[in-house]
Amino acid sequence: MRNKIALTYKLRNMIMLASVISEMICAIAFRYNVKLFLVGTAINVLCFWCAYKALQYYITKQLVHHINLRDYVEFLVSKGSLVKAENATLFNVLLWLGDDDCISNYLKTTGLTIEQRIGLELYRLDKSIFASDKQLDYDDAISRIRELLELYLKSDSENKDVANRCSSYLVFYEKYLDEDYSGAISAISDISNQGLLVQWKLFHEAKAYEKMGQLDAAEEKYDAIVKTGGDIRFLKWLNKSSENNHAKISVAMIALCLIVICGAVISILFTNKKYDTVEEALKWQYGKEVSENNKAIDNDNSNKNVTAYVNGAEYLYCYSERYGEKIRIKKAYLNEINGPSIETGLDATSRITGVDFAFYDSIPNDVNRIFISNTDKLDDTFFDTSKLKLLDTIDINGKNYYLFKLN
Amino acid sequence: MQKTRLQINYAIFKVLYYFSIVIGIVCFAFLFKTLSVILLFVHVIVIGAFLRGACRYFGWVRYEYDYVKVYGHFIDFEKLLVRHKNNKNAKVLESVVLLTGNVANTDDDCLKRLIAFEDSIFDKATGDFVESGSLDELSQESNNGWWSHLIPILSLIDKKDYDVALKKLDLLISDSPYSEIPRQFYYAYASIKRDGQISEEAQSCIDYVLNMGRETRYARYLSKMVDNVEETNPVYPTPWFYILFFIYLCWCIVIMCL
Repeated sequence: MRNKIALTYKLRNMIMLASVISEMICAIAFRYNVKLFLVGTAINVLCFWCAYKALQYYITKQLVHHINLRDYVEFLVSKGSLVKAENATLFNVLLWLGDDDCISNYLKTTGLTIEQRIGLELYRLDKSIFASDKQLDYDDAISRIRELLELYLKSDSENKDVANRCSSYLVFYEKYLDEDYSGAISAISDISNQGLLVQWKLFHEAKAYEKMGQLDAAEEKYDAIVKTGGDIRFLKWLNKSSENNHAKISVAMIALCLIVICGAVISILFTNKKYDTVEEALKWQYGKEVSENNKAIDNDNSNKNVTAYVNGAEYLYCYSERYGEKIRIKKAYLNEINGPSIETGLDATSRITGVDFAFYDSIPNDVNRIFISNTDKLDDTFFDTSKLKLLDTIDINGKNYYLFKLN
Repeated sequence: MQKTRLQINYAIFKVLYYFSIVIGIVCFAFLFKTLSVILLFVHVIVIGAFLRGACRYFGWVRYEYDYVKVYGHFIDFEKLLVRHKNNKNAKVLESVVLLTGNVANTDDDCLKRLIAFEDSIFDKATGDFVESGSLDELSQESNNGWWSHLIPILSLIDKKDYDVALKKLDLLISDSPYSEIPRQFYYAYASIKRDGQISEEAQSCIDYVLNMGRETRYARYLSKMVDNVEETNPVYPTPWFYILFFIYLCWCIVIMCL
């Protein structure tokens, strides 16, 4: 694609869409690992926002610093349907570009706001005076612009800066046409030196200096316009062409694209990644750091593995599946997550029972129902204690835990 | 009656929109039953709201905007508004009726009379003769619709006071096609009548009316006034927002399969 602004725009849209999709994949891949979930979400949201902002920054840079007006116009024209803000920018850019064909094509399909109409009238006046275009009735044109300015100031969308600037332009034109060139220059001295206004100011000052006979000062200003280059209309009116001026693709956008793609690929790989040990799997899949020393049950039943870890009052049960030498956890339960809440006043055994029920709910019947308790006196309110058989007592970090089998 | 492209897309959008809400709830129920992961719950709600919001505001609203205000399919839009007539879109319908001239779709008597006046002035072949004095009556009777600004100008045109009419029209500019199409038509008409030829400014107005107002009665009036009217091919926007529904659907199915 020759037009790099259009390419950057398409890249931006793809990044925004990809970051939404990547966020969905990330949510599924890291649904049990809060830290990774939040990091992934933050990266995707950041990429989405950065892509949106990066395009705005890129376009401002192309228009104001590189003055790549032609590429921008081509991009918007090829885009077809434009929102109000884009239409406003396009028309403004067309006036700076000074392309009458494009302006008349624009007017065929789009109405103008008062501000745009003032801009168009000012452009026609400017062109008539400085580009030896068809002669206008200057007094009539200026009085029409003044009427529009009054209307603009009464409208809801009025912007004092724009109105003041347009008034300064009008004073400049009036004085210039009255051959009061120094007055004309002082009329535009307050216009801000930002963006393309610098070029406007330089050109008009140069024209006034030229009329005053100060050719060196005029030449200096013309040189400054030529040095800045770009597609601005003043270069065309001066019969100076700038070097081949084409926009370059945004590097930031490519970087964002790579980040989103990498993020999505990592998320996809994580959704089915297998681990060497249960501890490693717990660390990445659930964000839980457990030690081999805290292992209370390791009930390997062919390729379905039940493992439990205890640490003080915390009990972590996990159910993993074996794929050759590798392991992937299917479900893990921490007593505080699935068991009845501590506030209900039930003792530790009851909580274990709660965990146990939730845990075994998804385990096939042929798996031995082994569970762990920190007491051997189990509460018979929750299950039939006559069906319980004490298998073993283990000592972990100085505390006794009891392994039961439920028949 | 054959459905227009806008009506078909509106129906598809509505079905998909409500379907996405239902599938979002089903997905939520699945999560509640099997997963109980609080982050994923929040995620389903946030992503669902974001995608549905994007479909509605950046999808359908934008599509409708392009269809009507960028590509100027006012007749299709009028049919849609008539089918879904309510208080909210009554004002828009009035504006569209003014452009298309289908007086059967409005109850506003002033608007009907304004259209009859315009027909009598601009389309002498089909319009019934209306006394110009009643235009001033209409000006007093008209409600506060934006088109009431057109009546004094129409009166000036009727009185062949083209200079004043053109000056007033100059100050009525707007970027909305609803008001800009009649304004530019009046401008072209007054300018041609005053100069006896088509000026550059009038040509620009004619081009605008023939492009944007292709489906309005103003283009019909113009085609009788101006020779060699070029037919422009209608262009339709692409309803790209269906992709977002598809993505949301895929996401919900994946969540349900977890």
